[in-house]
Amino acid sequence: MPEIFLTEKRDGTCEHPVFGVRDPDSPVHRMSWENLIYAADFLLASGERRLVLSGGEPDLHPQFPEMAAYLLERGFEVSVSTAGIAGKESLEKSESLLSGYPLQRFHFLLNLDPFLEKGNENGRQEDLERFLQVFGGRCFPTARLTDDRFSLVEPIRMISEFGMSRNLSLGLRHPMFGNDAMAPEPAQVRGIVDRVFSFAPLMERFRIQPILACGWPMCCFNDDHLAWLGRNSGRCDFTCGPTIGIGPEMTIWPCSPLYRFRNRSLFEFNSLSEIHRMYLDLFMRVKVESAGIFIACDTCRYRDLQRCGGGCLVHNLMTFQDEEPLRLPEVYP
Amino acid sequence: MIRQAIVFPFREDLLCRLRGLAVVPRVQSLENIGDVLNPIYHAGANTRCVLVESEVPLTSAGLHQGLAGIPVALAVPRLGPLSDFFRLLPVLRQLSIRVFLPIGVEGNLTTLRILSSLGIGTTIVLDGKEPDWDGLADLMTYAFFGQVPHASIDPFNYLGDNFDPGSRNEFEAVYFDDPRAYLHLDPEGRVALTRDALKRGDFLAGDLESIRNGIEGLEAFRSRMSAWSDHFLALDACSTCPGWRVCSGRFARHRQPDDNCRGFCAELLDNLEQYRATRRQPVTSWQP
Repeated sequence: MPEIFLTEKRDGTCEHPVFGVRDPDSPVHRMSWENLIYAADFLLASGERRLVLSGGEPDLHPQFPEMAAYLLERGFEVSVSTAGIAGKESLEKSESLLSGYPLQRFHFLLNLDPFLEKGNENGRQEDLERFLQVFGGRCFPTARLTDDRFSLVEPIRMISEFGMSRNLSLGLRHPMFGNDAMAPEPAQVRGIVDRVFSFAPLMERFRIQPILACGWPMCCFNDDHLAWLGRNSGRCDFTCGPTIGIGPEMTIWPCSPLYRFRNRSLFEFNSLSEIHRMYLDLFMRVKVESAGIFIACDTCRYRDLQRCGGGCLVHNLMTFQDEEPLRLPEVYP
Repeated sequence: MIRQAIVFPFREDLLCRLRGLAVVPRVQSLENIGDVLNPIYHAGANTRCVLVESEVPLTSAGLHQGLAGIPVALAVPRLGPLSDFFRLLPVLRQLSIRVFLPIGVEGNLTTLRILSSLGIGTTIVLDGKEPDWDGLADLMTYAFFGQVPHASIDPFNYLGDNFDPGSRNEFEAVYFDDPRAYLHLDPEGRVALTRDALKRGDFLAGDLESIRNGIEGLEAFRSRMSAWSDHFLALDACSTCPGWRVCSGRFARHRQPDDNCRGFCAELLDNLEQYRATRRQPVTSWQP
């Protein structure tokens, strides 16, 4: 699903120095109406009717509710990736403009990362609760895991209390290409998986159905894990492919961790499938050089069967940065 | 016989002179629109559309579902708060409405694009202020080559539909200002060829009765229709403009012609030719 960045500005809850924003308050780094209309036309002409509004924090765009309403009126299914709409005024405007649309057409992907560790809520608890009182029923919770010390207790409590969707999207926090954001090393992934499954009884009791976001290597899950996931969520996709991000200045990139990799302009293309093909080809070239995040990925039969993408591609690319440039030229930025 | 539609400021005492004619009543607001349309109907005139010249933004113009089916040309200075507009949009989509917006007001070029992309027909109004030519050219490109269907942005789409590559093209009709299609009445029933002539008090006739046989034979009409040739007699900048065939001096009416409007009109002509060349002609099947 393509992702449109409304603004590069972010709030205090996001620990990722996401994209090394230059001047997030500058209108240049905010999506303009002209660009939004162009992007919407482009996606509709490509037959795409679903998109994610993202950022930064999309609701920090001064016209976030209007832009979301516009896209809904153009016929899109809109998901908003957010840490919760802050500010009473912005919330009231969003409620009055957006609460009338059906849940299937408009919902939030709520980032619960700050609640994975007790006492890490950044003082925004009140704002978030106000947001959840209004939009809780429209929220699909997400969490990105950094290490094996997290707890899912608080997120599960919030899901239950505010009537959020029981589909909890669990992802690994990936490194960001081009900056030093904190992310787990490949060797840590097994420990994170074990930690996730230590909450399996709790998830079962609260009927939480975890969904695995992209970038998990399948070999870090044992057969019991996979069987549990099969019974309790049914959505285990271990592949890795471009999702396509569109920035305020119409820059495009293959997916969030590769925000700074092989950027092009949306204006260079005629359709989304053209962009998709280009980045997919690039992904394949990287995987020819290095199949996945582990050495063993090179000979893995599940990779050959395309059951697993070998983790997030950004790990491979980061490895290439630390060695002599002997690989295919396309795999370098 | 008068073939033109009569644009008149709505006054009941004028209606008795309009029997059998197509009319465009000019009103200031949409309030009590029934009090305008019913007398016109009972007077035996045919309402082509209602021209509303409002001084309030579109969101405050009093649009409501009761206007469905009534052709409305709504001239407003600006859109108003976008949040109010999106609340109004479901109503707006049920109406037969065209929104006229002056391009001299900041933000209106964007508003025109938003409205058009949401299926609301629009017309840009050249209000005498210096336009943002780059922004206007972007809007023109969108009007002709937008990737997905959108409502028309006139005069661009009007020209696109009516463009004759071998002739001079005019688009005054979108502003009710083409004497071949519209005549204007003042409150006393005097007839003028154009809005400007009406404002100047330059009347063609004292009343409609005196032009019952049509205006095509009148010297004033012929003179107005050949007024374009004045540019060539004066050898002004318009006479050497590469975009003359789609402008006929219209863009330079409220300002001195310069490289900005010349460049824009030349681009408009190029775009029109490209638009006509790439547009698929409708397939017509055999008709009995």
